[in-house]
Amino acid sequence: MAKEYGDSFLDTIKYIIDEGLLKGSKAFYLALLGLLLIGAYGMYLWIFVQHAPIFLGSNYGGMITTDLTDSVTWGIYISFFVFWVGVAAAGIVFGIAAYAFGHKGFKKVAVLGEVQAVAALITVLLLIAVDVGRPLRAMILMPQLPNLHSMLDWDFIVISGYLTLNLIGFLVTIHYYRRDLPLPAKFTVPFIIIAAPFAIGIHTVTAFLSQALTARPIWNSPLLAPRYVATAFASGPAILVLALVLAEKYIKGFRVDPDVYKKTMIVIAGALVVGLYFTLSEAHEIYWYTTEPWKKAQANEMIFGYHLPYLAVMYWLWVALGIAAVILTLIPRVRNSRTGMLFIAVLTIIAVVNEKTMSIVIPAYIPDPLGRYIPYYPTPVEYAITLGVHALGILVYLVLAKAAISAIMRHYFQGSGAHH
Amino acid sequence: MAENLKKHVDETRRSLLKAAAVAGGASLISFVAIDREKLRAVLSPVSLEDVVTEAEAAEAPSELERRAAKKTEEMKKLCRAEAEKLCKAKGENSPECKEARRRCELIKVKATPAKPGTRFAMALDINKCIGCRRCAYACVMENNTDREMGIEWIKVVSVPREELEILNTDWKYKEAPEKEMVYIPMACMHCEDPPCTMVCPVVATFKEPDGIVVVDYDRCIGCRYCITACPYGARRFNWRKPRVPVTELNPNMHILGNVIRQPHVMEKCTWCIQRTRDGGVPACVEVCPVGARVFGDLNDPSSPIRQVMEEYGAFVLKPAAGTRPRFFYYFGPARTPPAKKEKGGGGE
Amino acid sequence: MRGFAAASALAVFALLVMAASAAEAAGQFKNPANYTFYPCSSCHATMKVTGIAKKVGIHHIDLTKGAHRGLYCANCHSAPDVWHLKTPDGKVDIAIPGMFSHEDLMKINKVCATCHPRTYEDYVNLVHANKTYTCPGGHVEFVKGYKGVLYSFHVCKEYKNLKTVPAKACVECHNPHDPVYHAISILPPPSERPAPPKQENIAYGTLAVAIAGMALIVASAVLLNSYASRQ
Repeated sequence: MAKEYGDSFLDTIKYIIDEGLLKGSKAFYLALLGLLLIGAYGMYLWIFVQHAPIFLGSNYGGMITTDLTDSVTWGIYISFFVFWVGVAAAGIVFGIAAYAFGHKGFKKVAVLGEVQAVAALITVLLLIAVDVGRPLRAMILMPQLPNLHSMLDWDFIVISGYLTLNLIGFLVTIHYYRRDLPLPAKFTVPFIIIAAPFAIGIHTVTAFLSQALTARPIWNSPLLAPRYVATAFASGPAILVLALVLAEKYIKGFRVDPDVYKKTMIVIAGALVVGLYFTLSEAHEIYWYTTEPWKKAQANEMIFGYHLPYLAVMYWLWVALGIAAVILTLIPRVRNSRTGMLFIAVLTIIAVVNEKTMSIVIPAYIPDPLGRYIPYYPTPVEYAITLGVHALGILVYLVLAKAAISAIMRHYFQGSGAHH
Repeated sequence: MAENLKKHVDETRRSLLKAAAVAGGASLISFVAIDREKLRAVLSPVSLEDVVTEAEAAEAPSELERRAAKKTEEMKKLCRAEAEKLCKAKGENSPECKEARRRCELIKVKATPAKPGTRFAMALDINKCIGCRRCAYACVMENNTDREMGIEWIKVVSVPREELEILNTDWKYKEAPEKEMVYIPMACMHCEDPPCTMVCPVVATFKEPDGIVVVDYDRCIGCRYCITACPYGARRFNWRKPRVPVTELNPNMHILGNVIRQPHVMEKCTWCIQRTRDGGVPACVEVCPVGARVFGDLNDPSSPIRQVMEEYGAFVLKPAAGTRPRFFYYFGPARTPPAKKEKGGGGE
Repeated sequence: MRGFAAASALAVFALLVMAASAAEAAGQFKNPANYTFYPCSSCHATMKVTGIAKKVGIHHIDLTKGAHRGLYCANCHSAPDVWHLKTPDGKVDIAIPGMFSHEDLMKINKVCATCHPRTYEDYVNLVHANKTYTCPGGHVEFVKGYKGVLYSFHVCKEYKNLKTVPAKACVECHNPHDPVYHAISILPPPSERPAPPKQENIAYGTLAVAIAGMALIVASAVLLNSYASRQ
């Protein structure tokens, strides 16, 4: 094989750009174009409509184009922020199986976990950028870490740290794999020792910033962080399974060790069971006897949706689809077939989206501290920007995953790693 | 001869050394024995502060004062631009134009610091409050708040008298006061342990030494974490560029108080920092027709607040939130009778 | 000679009487009951407030009802005339809200304090009633503001060195003959954040872009499938 790239790191960057962006098929570019279109529209709306007074100094526009109020002040953006932080955190699952437990099948695909984390974190950062009132000021002031009592400062630390770690992991992995070299232990061991706590850390911090507030009784419980982490460890690996199944189908020569699938399905099922158990525990604490009336009123909104019906729909979808996914995972015929796994993964993702986005963020604001019930229905601007941000995240994922898979193919299927 | 000289020199040296030792010892003893402070006062170098007079030193502006001076110019520019538009629309001789121009010239953004040893607090007599909402709207007038975004720093909620729970509140009541309801105006409680200052990622909101929790509008990044953290629903956000009718502008401004805000920043009650730090009383206290509100300095035993706490006792809302508010509520001696006239007259 | 002295004495005496009556007349002009548009003395030579008077029908004063129904006129008004009020240390002139200045009205607070010392204590300590502030060389303009609130716009030279003082005298809120303060009108309900502006264009735009994007992605999937099936 002709050596087109040298041994330096710069060549790795060149390799990633080539493999990820320049050497795509027509289908790949069609998909990129579609995603770019949606993403560009979202960004256009952000700059020219939702944040027009900030970026353009205009007298029109502003966040008044959203349905956010002083009552329900965090809406669709923060809801999806919570979900994607969870997905990013769970990207480490493959890494732990590969580098901490040394499973060979997982070693092949561990880098896809890192790619997922990077893409999810970019989505997360974009969601924060579109939600914050004055993003430029935030960019200047936040890195100064002015207030370490505030969990948002810690969020900044752990998210930037985890993003950096995953980028490093991704780059180093490609750096070795494209030259048909295995990853050295002197990289993987410290990497996993540092990255694994950070992974749990990002979702813990996201939960901590909600759960310490006495102003939001339904969040003010020590169970919020474990519940977030549990369902994150269902949705993250589900997305990984989805990616692997699709990659196997469409990339010639890419084969995944069946043990990888088996173990990941166990993780997904286990995480779902824990998540459902936590949901049961929360419901019991609130409804069995008495609890703070404000907390009960908020739980009524979450579970029965008296003033905002879609919250109830989301809550019960989570319960139903979660139980369905667990039951399906217990059936060998379903969990061992590709279609079955795809179905379970999709069910899990939908279930966790329903559990972790609006259905946990919005009830904390209804009723608000003044006892008002002010509903929240996202406006077209919010939908468009959310869609745009997601499109950009998926775009990043596709580009990086393509480069990663090329490197994996180079080492594990065409090179010296093939006989492992 | 040389020997003699040498001996002489040695002797001189010796006596010189002896003398020096004696002198040194003596001065050492005197140095130790004398009053250190007096000595230090004599020996300390003259500093610039001693030479520059106090008046000059007081003129040196602090960071906040420099910002306030700049803000005055900015506010005046904004006001004049709006006044120009108004005058073009209504004509130069219209009363609105004259009023607008007058207010623009009166604008002064102060940066009055906290008076040391002061600790402000406010109390509200629930028995007197008739839910008329004059406090809420006077606050809007005083603090140059946008009138169209529904930003009112004070929200008056009515709850049943039997159970003072801030849940299932009626805040849109059209008739008041009813016999079975109490009316509770809620605004920033200026807590001792404010959750909003704990969560602000950029320290845009902080508790000043005299107890007022303020927002620095030039630092706020609009993340709205503080709204999420406030158990009293006291904080407000500017969802778009705020607009104030220039004929109703309040020219008495404080840079941490009622300057015209920017889009996408937080704001909240500041206990009329532009009035109270100079000896005045907040607008809500002033306008209340039944005199239900009381404002004062907790550290001053003759202040109204201390009278209320000693005479009637005061409580706070949502103590379980653990924030230790400094906006107290109390049940005073007389109850303003309900709007519907009772038979036999009310009583005191 | 004696007659001349007697005549001059008489003249002096007459002069004195005239002066005295003139002084009395002048004193009568000083009487507050005279220089209102409701001069009590245009109907009454004296008021003859007796010890047991409780009603004055023509002035709509009825002390058999209301919070002060335990009182007689003579408890506050120094009998037999009404244009003085009793205070612990003497008398004070009557003052009527709307006709007399704020300073004159404040002088009557002492009368109320005689029976309501606790409330007066509260009032003096700025607990009981309205409070306002004064600034050196300033004045107050009343403006009707946002949602009809009567807002006092203080026009000051400097807005520094402010002094907080009670705003109203007792009688400015409490009618002394029917003192219960009844609730006044309330202002309209608060506004909410206005609904988000109409975003139909954005809705259509989003739909269009989303459909176009999805179409491209679906096309790419179809193409991918054809690659896969070609293998």
